[in-house]
Amino acid sequence: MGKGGIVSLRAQGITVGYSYSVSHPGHEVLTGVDVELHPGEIVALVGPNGAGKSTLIRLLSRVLEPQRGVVTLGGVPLKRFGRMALARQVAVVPQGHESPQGFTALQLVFMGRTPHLGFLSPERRLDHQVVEASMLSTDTWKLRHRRLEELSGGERQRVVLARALAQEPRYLLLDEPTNNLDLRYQVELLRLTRRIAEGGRGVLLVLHDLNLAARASDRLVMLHRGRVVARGPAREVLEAARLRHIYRTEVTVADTEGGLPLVVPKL
Amino acid sequence: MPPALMQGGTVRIPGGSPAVRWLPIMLLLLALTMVMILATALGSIPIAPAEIFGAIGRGLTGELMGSHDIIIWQIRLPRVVMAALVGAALALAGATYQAVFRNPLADPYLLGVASGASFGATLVIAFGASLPLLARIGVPLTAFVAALTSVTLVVALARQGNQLPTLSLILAGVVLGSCLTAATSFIMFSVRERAAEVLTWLLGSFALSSWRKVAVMTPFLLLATVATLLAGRSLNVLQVGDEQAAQLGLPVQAVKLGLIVCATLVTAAAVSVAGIIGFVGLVVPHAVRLAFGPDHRTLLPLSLLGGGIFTVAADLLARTVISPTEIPIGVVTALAGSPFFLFLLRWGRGVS
Repeated sequence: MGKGGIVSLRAQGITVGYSYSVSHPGHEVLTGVDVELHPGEIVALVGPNGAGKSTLIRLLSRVLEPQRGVVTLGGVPLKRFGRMALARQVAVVPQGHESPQGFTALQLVFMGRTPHLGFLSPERRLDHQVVEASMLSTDTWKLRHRRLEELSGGERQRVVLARALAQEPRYLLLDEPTNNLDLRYQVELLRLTRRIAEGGRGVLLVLHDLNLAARASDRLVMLHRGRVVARGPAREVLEAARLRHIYRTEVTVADTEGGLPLVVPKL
Repeated sequence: MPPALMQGGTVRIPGGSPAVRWLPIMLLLLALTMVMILATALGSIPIAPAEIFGAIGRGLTGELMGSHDIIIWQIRLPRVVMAALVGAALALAGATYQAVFRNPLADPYLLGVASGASFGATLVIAFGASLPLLARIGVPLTAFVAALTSVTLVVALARQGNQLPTLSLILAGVVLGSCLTAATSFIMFSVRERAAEVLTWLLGSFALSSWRKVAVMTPFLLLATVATLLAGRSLNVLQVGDEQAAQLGLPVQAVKLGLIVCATLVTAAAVSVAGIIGFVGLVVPHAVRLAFGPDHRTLLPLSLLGGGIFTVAADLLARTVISPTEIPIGVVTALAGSPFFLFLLRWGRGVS
C-alpha cells in the first residue's frame, strides 16, 4: 500500500524504445515519463499520433517492460504481481481489439472474469451477476447473444468496455474509447467513466478530441515525442501556443462559460 | 461497480444451458460406440454384433473360445480401439494447436512431429539390419524420441527470452520439417530396397495394432485429454490475442507452453504407433467448430470424439473397400474427409 493508504498506479522515469535489430537500435518511444493515477480521478492522456500514448498503456498493464524506470501499484512494482492479481487491479480497453470469430458478446464479456476464476473453479453466481451488470451499464445486455462479427464497430467497442468492467479493476485504462462511437454513445461512455471514478476507481482516458478530454477528465497529461510536455487542469494544458507548436496546426482557444477551453482548429 | 449496477434480470450461462452443452457430447459418444461396434463386426468374416460383447467378456478373463473370439479379441478390437485412440489424439492435438496458434491451418504436425518421427522411423527401417542397437530400440520408440527431439529443437530455436512468438514457432517448424523430410527422402532414395516399407509406414496403418500398443497410447491420451479439457476456458481467452489475454489475467506463455507440450506428446505417441495419418487433426476440429461453435469447452471434447469416429470409419473403409488389399489409412482420411468437410464449409454455417 502507498503512503497514506492511497493505492496509486504510478510510472516513474519510464524510458522505453522498440529496437528492431542490433544494427538498427530504433528510437525511444518514451523518455523519462512520470505519470501518476489516483483512485477516484479521471486523467486524460492527450498528444499527437505517435506520442507514445498507447505504449504508456501497455507499460501500465505490464505487457511491455520499460528499459529504465519502474511502474508501481501502491508502491509495489508491477513485476511482483502475478498476471491474475494484476488483472484484478488494472483493466485495459485496447484500441484495436481483435474479435475472435464465432464468439458471442456474452462469451467475450465473460472472459473479463478470468482473473477472478482459477483454472478449475466453475463460474459462480457472482460472476454471472457482474457480467450482467457490466453489460447493462454499457447498454450491451441486449446484444449478448449476438456474435461479435455481427456487431458494428461501436457496439463491439462497448462490449469490450463491458469486458474490462467485468474484471472489476481498481484502474481502468481506455485507449481511444470514443473511436467508432456516435455522439450519444461518446457522451454515455464518458458519463459512465465518471460514475466509475466516483465509485473510487482511477480512469486513464486516451483521447484525441481535446475538447472531450477537457470535459471528461479532472486533469490532462500531454505527451509529445515520448515526453510529458504539460500536465494539469485543461485550462493550463490546452494553451494555444503549445497546441500550435505540438500539433503544427493553427488553432484558437476560446473560453467557455464553464471556464473550460474550447479548441478550434483553423481549416 | 456500484451496487446499483449489480441488479439485473435473468442470468444465462454463455453457450446455453449445461444440458445444451452436454447433448452433442452424448450424441457423439453414442455415434462413436456404434461405429466401433460396426467396425468390429465387419470384415472378411462378418460377425454378429451380439457375439462381440461375449468375446470381449471372454477376452478380459482370458477364456477365448473359437475362431470368432480370436478374430474379435486379437485382431479387430485392438485395431478398432487403436484407430479410435489415435484419431481422438490427432483431433484433440489439432484443435489445441489451432487454438494456441490462432491459425486455422495449424495441424498436429505443425511443429515437426511428423517429420521428426518419419526421419526416426526411416532410419530404423533402412539401417536396422546393419545397426542392431537401432533395431532393438524399434521403430515406434525411435519415432517417438525423434518426434519429441525435433519439436524441442523447434521450440528452442523459436524462443526469444521467455516469449514464444507464434510466427517464429511456425517458421522454425516448417523449415526444420522441410530439412528432415529431405533427409528422409534421401535415405529412401539411397536404400531403395526398403523404400516401399518406409512409404507404408509414412502413410500410416492400423494393421499392426495390438493391445500392447493400446496400452502405450492410453496414458498419453489421458494426460492430453485432462490437460486440454481443463484449459478450455484459457483457450477461449487466448483467442483475443496474446497481449489482451495477458491483460485479462492469463499467464499466456505458461499456458501456451504447457498445451504445446501435451499436444506434442500425444501426437508423438499416436504417430509412433500408427504412422503419419494426415487430415484428421486439421479437419475434424474445423468440422466440429462449424457445427457446434467455437467454445473450447465443447470444441475439445467434441473434437476428441469426432476424431475417433472419423478414424474408425476411415480404417473400416481402408480394409474393406478393396479387400483383401488394404488402402493406406492416410489416403482414405483425405479422400473421404475432403468432400465431407467441403460440404460442411459450404452448408454447415447455419447449424451453429
